[in-house]
Amino acid sequence: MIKEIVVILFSTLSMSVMAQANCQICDQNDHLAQSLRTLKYSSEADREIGLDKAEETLTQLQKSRRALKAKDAPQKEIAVSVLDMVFAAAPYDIESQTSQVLYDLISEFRVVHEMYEDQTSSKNISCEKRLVKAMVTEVSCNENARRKKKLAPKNFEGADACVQVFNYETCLRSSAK
Amino acid sequence: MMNALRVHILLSLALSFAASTGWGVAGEVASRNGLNLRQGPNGRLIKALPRGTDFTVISQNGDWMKIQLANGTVGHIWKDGGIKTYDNADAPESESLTVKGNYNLRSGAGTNYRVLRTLKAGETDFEVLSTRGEWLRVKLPSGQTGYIHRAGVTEAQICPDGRCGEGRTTQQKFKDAIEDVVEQTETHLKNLDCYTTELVSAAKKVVRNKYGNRPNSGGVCAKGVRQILDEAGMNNGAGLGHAIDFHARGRLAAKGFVNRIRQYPRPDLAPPGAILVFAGPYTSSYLSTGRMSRPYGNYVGHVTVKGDNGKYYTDGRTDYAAGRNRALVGVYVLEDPSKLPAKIRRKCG
Repeated sequence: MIKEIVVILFSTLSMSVMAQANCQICDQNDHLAQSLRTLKYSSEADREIGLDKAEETLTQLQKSRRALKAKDAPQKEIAVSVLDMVFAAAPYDIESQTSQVLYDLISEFRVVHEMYEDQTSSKNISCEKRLVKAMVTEVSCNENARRKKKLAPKNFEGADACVQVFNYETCLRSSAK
Repeated sequence: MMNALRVHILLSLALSFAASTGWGVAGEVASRNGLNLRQGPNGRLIKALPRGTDFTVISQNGDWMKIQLANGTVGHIWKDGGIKTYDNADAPESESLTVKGNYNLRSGAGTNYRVLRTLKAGETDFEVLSTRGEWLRVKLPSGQTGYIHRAGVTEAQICPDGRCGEGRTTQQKFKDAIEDVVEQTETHLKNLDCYTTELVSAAKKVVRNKYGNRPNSGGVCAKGVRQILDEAGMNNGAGLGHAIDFHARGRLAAKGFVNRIRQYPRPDLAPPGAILVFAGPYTSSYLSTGRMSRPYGNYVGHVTVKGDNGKYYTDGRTDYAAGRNRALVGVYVLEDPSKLPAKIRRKCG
């Protein structure tokens, strides 16, 4: 009996610690997103800083993935913070690596998929969101082509039809008008 | 490659000889993009020397030359970076020449160089500044300089101490050999300039037409660079594998590109037209298993072409060569065009 109580207490404590840890992840993601939003894309020096922060974003995404897997994790909260962070990092992530990891998370976690759809389905979305959407669409399209065997398994190049020609800089200029 | 190597070795020998015998070998920067003057071999940058900068060779150390500029600055340049050298020792300093017939004054030592003006028979008072094989670098009374073929003036006037033809000294013959080597090197470098121009131009075209000039890579960098090579006529459309395969599986080496990462240890130091290959966190597992841990290649490596405008071209046009989680493993520079398809070789020579 005592053993059972100890186990229950320990489980409750663990879940509470885990939830706290997940919240910490949200805070960390939010903090990084905020610091990215203080940068000016038009400034070369800021783009250089953004490149460093894009790598931090990749690390945060891996941590977020682990947090999302945890039992009783505040998944919706984490998903929102992940998306916000990826949107903020996208202009500085010259290789679109964050969008590709996001595609992984979308495939793996329904909540991330739902929040992503929710945030990117509107027509009037920011250039950052449009950039992420374009890159996730390109990765997803190539993956589907492989799955449907339209591409050879060892074709690392991707399909011509999947290329998204979205230009973030053009979008910024259009938005400024 | 063997030709390039031969030129390289002969030039090294010739220049070593010149330095050891105390010849005053003068030269100028010939590379279109200029050269970096450094404190020592691979040392700190003193300044960038634009094309046409004159210098005097002080000594040579492996692939590097110690030189002095006209303003007295001393530093080192990479010998294979694109230079012209010529020896003024045999130039009859104050002797003036008379043109025998109508001959072109050209911007360089060869008929492929631009005609500056046509010299008419009887024109006189040319000062010979130096000799380059069959060509004389002359200064006109107006101050204009250029090159005229040896046949355009009387031979006796350009043979110091009357030692021409069979009567040449060993030193004179050796100097002629140097001039021939320098000329071959110049031609080789000029041809490589053409390939570089083609590659950079193709990069801009592909990124503009196929990727909307987007300022980021979408994760199909190997495809972008393969398309750039296709557009430049350096590949026949065949897939080249993953980005890291360009380096690790010798895709670029097979096309005559040589990894010059020791000369250019950072992307910003690489010359335009260089193809840069980066490893990533999953490179090792890909190379050992032949499979990617994710469906897309971005996790494994990255490849990009350096433009002539500070941008990098892949499946987009980026300000930086790669993300921070990358390690530069290859800076590939075309050195042996003989491995490229015939069409581009016909175009660039």
